Amino acid sequence: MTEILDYGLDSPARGLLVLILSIADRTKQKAMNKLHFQKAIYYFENLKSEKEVFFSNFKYGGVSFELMENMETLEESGLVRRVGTKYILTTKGEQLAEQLRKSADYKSDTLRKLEYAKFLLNDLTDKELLFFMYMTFPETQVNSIEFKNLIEDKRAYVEKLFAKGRIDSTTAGEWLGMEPRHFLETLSTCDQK
Amino acid sequence: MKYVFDTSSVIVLLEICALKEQLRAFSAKHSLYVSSKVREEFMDGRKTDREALNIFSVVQPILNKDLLAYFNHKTSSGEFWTISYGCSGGDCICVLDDGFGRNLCQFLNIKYTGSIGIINEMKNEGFLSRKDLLEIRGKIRNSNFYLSKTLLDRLDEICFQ
Repeated sequence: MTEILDYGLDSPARGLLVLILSIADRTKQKAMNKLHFQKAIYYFENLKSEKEVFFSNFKYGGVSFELMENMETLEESGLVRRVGTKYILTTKGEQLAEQLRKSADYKSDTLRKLEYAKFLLNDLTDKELLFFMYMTFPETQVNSIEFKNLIEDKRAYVEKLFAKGRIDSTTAGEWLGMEPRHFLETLSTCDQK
Repeated sequence: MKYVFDTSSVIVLLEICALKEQLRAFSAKHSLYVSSKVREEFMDGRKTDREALNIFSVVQPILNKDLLAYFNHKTSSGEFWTISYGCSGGDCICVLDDGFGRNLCQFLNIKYTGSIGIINEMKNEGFLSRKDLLEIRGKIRNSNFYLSKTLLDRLDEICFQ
């Protein structure tokens, strides 16, 4: 417990960063780039309906400078290291993530939701991820520099996200302005049959 | 067994595969349910055989608040209603074809299968002949309705094993 306090992991932003980097996604990858950890934690906060990290709507949608600063601190403290554009936990970081998991601050339901956020989002491409987040949280489109480009290929992104199992047919239909059933009947399948 | 069906699986089995009579026979051995939301979505179809839906008992599930977060806090998805019923106790298996719902069930350890799984069950219990299976395969592959490649490959295995 002392080490958790020593490294400031009792702060939600810092603790969540360590925890999310300790989780393997559906492709068994733990590493995350800046965009993916920002969006996964944004999604997680919505999933648990409790905001502990401050986000503002910036060029790439919901972004937290608090998360960015804390990630830099974790790197300086030797709990995280960077490989290319991705962040991974060091051995010490993994040990502290394990302690955090056992602490009373994180209930099993909270951890499960954090795991789900990473499971849902971490293997999407940057563009798929941005499209998903802008559409799921329309308030984050406000200051976007990318949304207008992405929306031009709306149909393609919706189909990809649906085929990857990241949205259901109701959401796909809503985003395309059609009934879910109509979406399923018009989905291109020529590559599959 | 008890099964609760999502809209896409009802469409695949009743409309695309035209398995009304076989499903009726299957329902004598198993309890088949749809939620009121799925019933509503199915009835929206232009070619819908409304009488066929009588094979299923319509249920009004208690909507699961914890599950709602995974649907972005919206109750509009038929899958949300299906999975709500599936995880409400009573040992009911969700029948879903959409990847999202199947992934979510897998993640939350909720029992699930899909329309292809039901076809396999019907085959194993003698409700479908080899000729029926080949016809079903042709109907699904010639339809415009989306099923993932994984599910289509599974159908091939069932037909040819």
